[in-house]
Amino acid sequence: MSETLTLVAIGIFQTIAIIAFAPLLMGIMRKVKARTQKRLGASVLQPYYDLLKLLKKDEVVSDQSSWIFRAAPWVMLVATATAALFVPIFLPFSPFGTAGDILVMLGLFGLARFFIMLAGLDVASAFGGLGTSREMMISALVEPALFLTIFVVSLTLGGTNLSSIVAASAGQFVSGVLIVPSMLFALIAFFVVMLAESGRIPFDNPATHLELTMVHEAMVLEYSGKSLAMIQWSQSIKQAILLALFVNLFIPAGMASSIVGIDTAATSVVSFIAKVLLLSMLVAFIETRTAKWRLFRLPDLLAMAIASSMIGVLFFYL
Amino acid sequence: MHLWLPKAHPAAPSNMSALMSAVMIKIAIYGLVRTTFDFAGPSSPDSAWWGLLLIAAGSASALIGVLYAAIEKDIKRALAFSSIENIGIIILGLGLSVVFLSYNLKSLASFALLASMMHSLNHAAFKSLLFMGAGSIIFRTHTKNMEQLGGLAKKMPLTSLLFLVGALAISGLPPLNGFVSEWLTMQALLSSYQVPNTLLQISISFASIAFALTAGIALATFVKIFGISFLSRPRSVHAERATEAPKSMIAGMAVAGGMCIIFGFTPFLGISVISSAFGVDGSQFIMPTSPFQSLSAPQDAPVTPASISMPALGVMMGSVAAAVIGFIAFATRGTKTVRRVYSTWDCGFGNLNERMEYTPTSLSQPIRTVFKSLYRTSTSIDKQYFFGSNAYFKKSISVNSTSKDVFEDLLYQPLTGAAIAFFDRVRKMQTGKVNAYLLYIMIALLLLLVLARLI
Repeated sequence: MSETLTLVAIGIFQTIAIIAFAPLLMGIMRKVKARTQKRLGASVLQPYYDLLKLLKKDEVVSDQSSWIFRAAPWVMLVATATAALFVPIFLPFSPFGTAGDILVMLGLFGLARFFIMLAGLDVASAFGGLGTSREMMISALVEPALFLTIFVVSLTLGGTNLSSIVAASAGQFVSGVLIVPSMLFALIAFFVVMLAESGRIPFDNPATHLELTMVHEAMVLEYSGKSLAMIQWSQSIKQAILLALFVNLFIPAGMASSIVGIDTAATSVVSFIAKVLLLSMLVAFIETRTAKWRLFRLPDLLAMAIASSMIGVLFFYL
Repeated sequence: MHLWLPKAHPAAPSNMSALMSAVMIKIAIYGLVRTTFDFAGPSSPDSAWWGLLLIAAGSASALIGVLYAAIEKDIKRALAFSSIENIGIIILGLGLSVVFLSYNLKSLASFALLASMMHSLNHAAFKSLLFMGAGSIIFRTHTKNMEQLGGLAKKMPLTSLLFLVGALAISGLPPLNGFVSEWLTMQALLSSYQVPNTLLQISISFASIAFALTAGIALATFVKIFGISFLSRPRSVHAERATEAPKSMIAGMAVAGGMCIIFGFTPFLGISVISSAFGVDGSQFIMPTSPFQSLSAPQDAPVTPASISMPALGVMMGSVAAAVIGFIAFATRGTKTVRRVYSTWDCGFGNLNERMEYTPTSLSQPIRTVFKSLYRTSTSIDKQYFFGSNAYFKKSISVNSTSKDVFEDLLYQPLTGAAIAFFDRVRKMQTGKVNAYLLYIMIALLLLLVLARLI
């Protein structure tokens, strides 16, 4: 019993860590992006300053909006934070693995997205509708890419239970299997999906308010104060979760394959942080190097992701 | 694979539509289950083709149904198309079950059947809720065209809350019941690796693409249906003057909404009903025998089965919500923030009105563009000019956009056309002359005699 309690405590600690450090990750990505664009950039702690400032500010809500608009930030933050509970982060283990798997996590992201899309429509401005309309298309196409990626992962690593697949991935690495072809194709697909889900550049520009390019910003344009802080925070949590999942599933180097002792745990933590930082730098670098794609070219990219994970399935079976 | 459903639903009164979707179209499912498992009884790999046929029909029906629901602007037709989608998902589960049974994977077969039957049960709950909600809207606004709705969340708060429950459930979002059956279906799809036939495995993974695309578009569709009908500004006088639906209508919806929530948090109830109906042996696969036990898919020995526990998920979401509320209250302590109500940002131009907001047609425009080869939309723009010589001053512009029904045009139309053409030929035999009929009888007799001789 006490062991279970320890594990649950570790799990909750992991979750709190990812929720607390998610804005920092966002700040680091912005800094890297600024430096690669030969700008100085704001401090890496800037997202925290923003959140604190927003939490203390007055709020303006549209007179056209209904209770959905006010409820959406809460639903979004709660759903994203609950999703964070399921993800194994530093250790190959998620304490709530029996209560939910990777599909539950996706369902919770879907819940957050449902409400934010409704909030975009609720304010009766053309911008909100524009964002929702584009998000409808992108999210509908991301879904099959993501599910097929999970299909490949669950075929290769066995099941959809997050604890066991992350442990299996780490175990494969320890036993010397470095590259599994099907996982390689799933990696490509998951990378595209990760960019789409966290609203990064070929899909959406997180740093703009130009109507031609924005998707996510258009939906949250009417938010201010506390609500905006909650939305921004849950966005950064979602991004951190996706990065953590990517790292733990596809780049298992350094991850302990089971929970043994304090020294292997320390290695896991250090290597995890290093990998996530490298990956976020890569994402920021890609953002500097590529332009935002035209909206109707995005289906091509997502179709490529679907095809890539389908090739992964074929590789596994044949 | 439909023809009549989207035409019948808008004509029927809404309470009848609710029954039609919940019960009537399930009768066909009942018939299929009976014939497939009682009479046919698939038990050898030879019968796997039947399962594959069901999987193909189910996923095609689900995908195409939801694609038409996404672009529909009549609320009841959209819900009817979404029924087609859900029946497709049910058939998909049934087909998986047949395939598993053909390869003697009994526990997986009963798992897939459970997924399919759970989805029937859940669909009955949320679809009747949604149809009743649509009925309340029509009762108060006298229109089922979503282009004329809007802003009803403020006018009909209870109806909007209940409709939202239905929309969340049908989109397969946790913690409601639609999620449970979608999870079961996904797990059944993911378990297809146990079928010892590579061709089937690959076909099923294609079906899972269709399934996931269906789920994604279903979410978008219900964002559209709920968002356009209940949110933003009213788009017509009728919607502006709407009032809350009468109590009896709310009560009916509340029953169905309660079912969605109860079956969501305690899928155990639904599962026990289904397994007793089918006489499933609980030891065959991992069945929750108590409300809090988690659900999981049967797997081969080395694989840790994935599991979900909806009550636990509910408790987790509740405690996270409490923590979030507590944290936000803690972070904003000591500061007094005011919530000011002001008009929506209008870029400084002023006078935002209902004609400037997104309509159902414009909202689904990206989806329509992506899948234009399926819809085969034809858009015609009709311009009227003040002066024939000057093309810049237009009196009015009207855009007309129509899309075609792929099943009607490509499947049923050719079939009925060919059948009618064939029987037109056959009718030429029927001359009305008695001696010609006597000749036919003699030819038939001769042929029979020859046949009898040969055999």
